[in-house]
Amino acid sequence: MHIADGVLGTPVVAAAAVVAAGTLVYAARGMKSEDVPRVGLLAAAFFVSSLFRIPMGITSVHPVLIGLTGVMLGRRAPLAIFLGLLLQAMLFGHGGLTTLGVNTLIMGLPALFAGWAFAATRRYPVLPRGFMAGVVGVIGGTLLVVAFLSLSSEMYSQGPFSLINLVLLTHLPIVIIEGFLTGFAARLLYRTRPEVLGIEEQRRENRAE
Amino acid sequence: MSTLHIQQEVDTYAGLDSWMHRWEPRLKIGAGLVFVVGVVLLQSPLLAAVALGIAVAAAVSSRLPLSFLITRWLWVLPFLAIMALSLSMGGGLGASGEGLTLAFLVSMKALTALTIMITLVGTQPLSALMNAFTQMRLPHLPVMALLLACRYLFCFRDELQVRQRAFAARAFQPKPNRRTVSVYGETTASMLLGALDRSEQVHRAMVARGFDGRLRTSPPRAINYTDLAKGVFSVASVTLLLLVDRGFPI
Repeated sequence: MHIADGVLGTPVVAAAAVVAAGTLVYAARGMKSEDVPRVGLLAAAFFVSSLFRIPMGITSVHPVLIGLTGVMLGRRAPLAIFLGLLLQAMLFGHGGLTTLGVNTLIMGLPALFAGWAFAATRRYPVLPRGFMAGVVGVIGGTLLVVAFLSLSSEMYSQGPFSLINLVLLTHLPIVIIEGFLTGFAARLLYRTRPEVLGIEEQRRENRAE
Repeated sequence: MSTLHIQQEVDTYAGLDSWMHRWEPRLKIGAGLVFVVGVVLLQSPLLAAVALGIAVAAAVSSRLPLSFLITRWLWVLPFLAIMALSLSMGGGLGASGEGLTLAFLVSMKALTALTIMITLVGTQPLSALMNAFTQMRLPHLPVMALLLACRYLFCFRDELQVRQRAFAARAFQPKPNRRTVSVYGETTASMLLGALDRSEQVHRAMVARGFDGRLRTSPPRAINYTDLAKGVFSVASVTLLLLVDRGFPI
């Protein structure tokens, strides 16, 4: 789900960087020092999630944790994802420097939406809510990758084996895996420490009390 | 593998001595970023290849072994190869010249950016790079979160390796089924909970010692003329490439 330097056109990269900067300002606004450990923690978890390998035919897939980051951090999720992407680019060379904004949007916006969707459906059991958050995260990210590629060059969508078709095909199994993984993770968090499921949710409840 | 060992792995070539190692980190980050942005703007595949040559020369002259670079390239080469295949043969059998040219251009740019990044990160200790971020007048809470993330990721990697050994000891074989996803989901959650508890304890300990959300680091090293000259050379080289790319008569 990472887009490397040089893949996208300059106007797309520049526009995405501006929107990503706005998203990060929104994510960081009102941040307090007690939020810092959790944001750092989820940024690291987002980075390390790629080390979980699930064999799939001749290759393997790994979770991305977009939904779980959204569920646990709410509006701070894009910030954690940006920091995780920065570390991935610096230490592993995954993604890119000029595409940091693009990649932040690809994963940060679906994480925000997944977090909101999880909080908005609190009347339902946590396992399906977590599943939905995981699915929303990956589908949203994949659609944004497709949108950015389509906006950059027509060549990315030409032919049955086009890059866009490959992106859609390879992310299909990840949708299901991410959905279940986020669901199981959210269920365990709910059973043991329900207060960690969303800073915003927790704050609203505290205010209500 | 301990946390210390993994950190040493990242810092393998950080202790060497070269022009890149002696470059002031803030200026080095800035110049590297400008170089990468300039390379991404190139439209000529040949000039993008020249940029890659410059990046490799910078890395090798910084005493980073070529084998180290190639190992890092191997992480992205499969993705670039798939992209090249898709662009050149996406419409069916028979390679498209236009697609191949685009694939070559994108690959050159991606490898150049990666090489610059490897050189930036590999030519000083990771802690010095993180200190440079704190000294760049960026918003302090996100920078603090970055420093903590950098620390946690090594802890997570250690813990994950311990858990993977525990899985292997119990003859657990990951498969694309519900059980594997359930085990990985609950492992992720329990690792997060453990780390969250530790991070909250650390935060309380820091607050008890007077931490007010602001990191105090030693003052940055003064930028000298040699640092500036390296920055000017780096920016000038990519500017020259851009001018040639745009057909400016030189």
